[in-house]
Amino acid sequence: MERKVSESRRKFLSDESRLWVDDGLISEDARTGIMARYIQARRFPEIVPLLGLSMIGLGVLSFIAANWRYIPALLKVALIICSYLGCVAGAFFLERKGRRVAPDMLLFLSGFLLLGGLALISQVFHIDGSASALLMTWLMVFAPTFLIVRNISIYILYEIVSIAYINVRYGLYERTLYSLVYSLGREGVSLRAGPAAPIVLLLVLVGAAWWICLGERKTWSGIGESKLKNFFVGGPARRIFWSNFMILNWFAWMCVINSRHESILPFVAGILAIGILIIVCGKFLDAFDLDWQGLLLVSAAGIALSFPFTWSYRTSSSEHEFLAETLLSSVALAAYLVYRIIRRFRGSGFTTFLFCALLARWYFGMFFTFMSRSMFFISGGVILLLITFASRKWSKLAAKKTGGDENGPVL
Amino acid sequence: MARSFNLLSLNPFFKRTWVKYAVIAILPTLALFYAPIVNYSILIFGQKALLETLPVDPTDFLRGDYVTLDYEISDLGPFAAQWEDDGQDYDGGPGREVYVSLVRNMNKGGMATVSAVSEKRPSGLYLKGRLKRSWGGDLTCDYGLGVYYIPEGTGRELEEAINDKRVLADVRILRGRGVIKKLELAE
Repeated sequence: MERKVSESRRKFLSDESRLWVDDGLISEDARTGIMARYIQARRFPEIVPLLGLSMIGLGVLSFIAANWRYIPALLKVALIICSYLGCVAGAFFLERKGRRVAPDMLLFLSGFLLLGGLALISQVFHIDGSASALLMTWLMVFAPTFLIVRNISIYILYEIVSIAYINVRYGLYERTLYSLVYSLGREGVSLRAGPAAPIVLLLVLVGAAWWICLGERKTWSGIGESKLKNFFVGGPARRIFWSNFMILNWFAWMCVINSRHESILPFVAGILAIGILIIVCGKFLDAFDLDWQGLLLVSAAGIALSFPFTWSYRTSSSEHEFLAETLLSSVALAAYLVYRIIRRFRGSGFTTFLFCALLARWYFGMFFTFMSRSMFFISGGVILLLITFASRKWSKLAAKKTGGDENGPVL
Repeated sequence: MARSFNLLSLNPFFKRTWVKYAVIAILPTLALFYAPIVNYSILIFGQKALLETLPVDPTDFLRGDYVTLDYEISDLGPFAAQWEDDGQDYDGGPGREVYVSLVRNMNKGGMATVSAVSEKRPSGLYLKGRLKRSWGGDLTCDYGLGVYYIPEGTGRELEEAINDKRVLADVRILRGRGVIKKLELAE
């Protein structure tokens, strides 16, 4: 019977079993038989094509919203409701048929459809509501799905929307940022003491994530010795994700800084992010399935692309400056792709995800203002699918050259 | 002791697939049905009121292009005096809920104007709103009618069309709640 394990565990087993053969403990055939029992689990970047599909879905929805003015409002509402219910019903029937992955993926998609649907309905009836109210409505009605299904993709979607809500509602990043600036004693910046609500909400979110993560553990024994350690660096997927998500949060923080006057802060945030990576990942690189080179490269690219002057060029009319921005982004992209090719796409899934987030930041900065929204989403989704397709193709080619397979390291 | 946080583990009944999906889908479905039902009932059964507006055109990432609308009836004038010094902070958070009675002013082409403001539900044509302080410092009323979504890319056309014209909002009102049916351009 085959068992799915992480890439790092499979590599460890491969290296160890090689030593067993060398020491005469087992035969080569036995080693091959052992390794055949362990196949590499699907990696985190599976979310990239999923995001691509979701963006195409959003593109179709916004196309309907923007251009389908001749269709009666009632029909639009019916389409929205039917698409959501169809998605959930599809998941239901697939689960009844015993499928494991597809139902969760459909429910993930239903989350997007629900968010888009709520927004479109408020558009149809000209409902005057803030974006934060919309996000909060989604968070409330999608909570049962998040709690019941406990799928990593849904978890990511829910947490990202949670953070987006907090940021949109309370300007959390900016407020924290100004607190940092104030504490550094910078002149000319006044600290406005805000309500405690964003901090409380964040703590509730962290607590909820922690509580859910605890569900992965089979026993309580051992947790007491280092709850904090388990929270930050524990083993199973959700704990790993939450740790990674904190890093992503730092990354998002870097990305929202886009002011010429705060030019030093992306560097401060970048250094802090790298520091957190060092502290959090430290001796647990295997557990995290991360690799240092990728992390450093992504962090460096993050700093470069988040550097205020990079983005402020966009507002000037200088073609040279525009080219410099494009060149900088392209060099970062090329460097990362070369790195991935060298590593035969066996490195960190998270770094791939981060890099896609960087690309998305670049893509938004470049195209959002002058592309129609539906084309913006659809072409973004197609780019993500192409990246996935290319990475798989290259991975297969690299594996074929070295005699391995794309699911795991060469034996 | 084994512990696992999962709603489905609370009762064997919840382990059934259809129950699981019913729990998942019920809240989103109610949310998706709520707004259409409420708004269609207002559009079908509500009374008509014409309101004079002052539009500008921003855009919303999730919901597309729209014009934000300010209304003449938002300025409550002398009716707001009774709440000016009531100690409430109208700058942040939801303000006091009030009912604004409207009358059709024939001198203004049947446009609705404010006739009274009260904290008690009046009879006749009225809108429910919340008091808030404007940039100028006056108390105004927010009726939740501040946006009108338009087809993508048509904001500029609308902006140009309204340069020399008044924009009127055709609003349907039922039990104090209004829904914009359409915008009209008037000379």
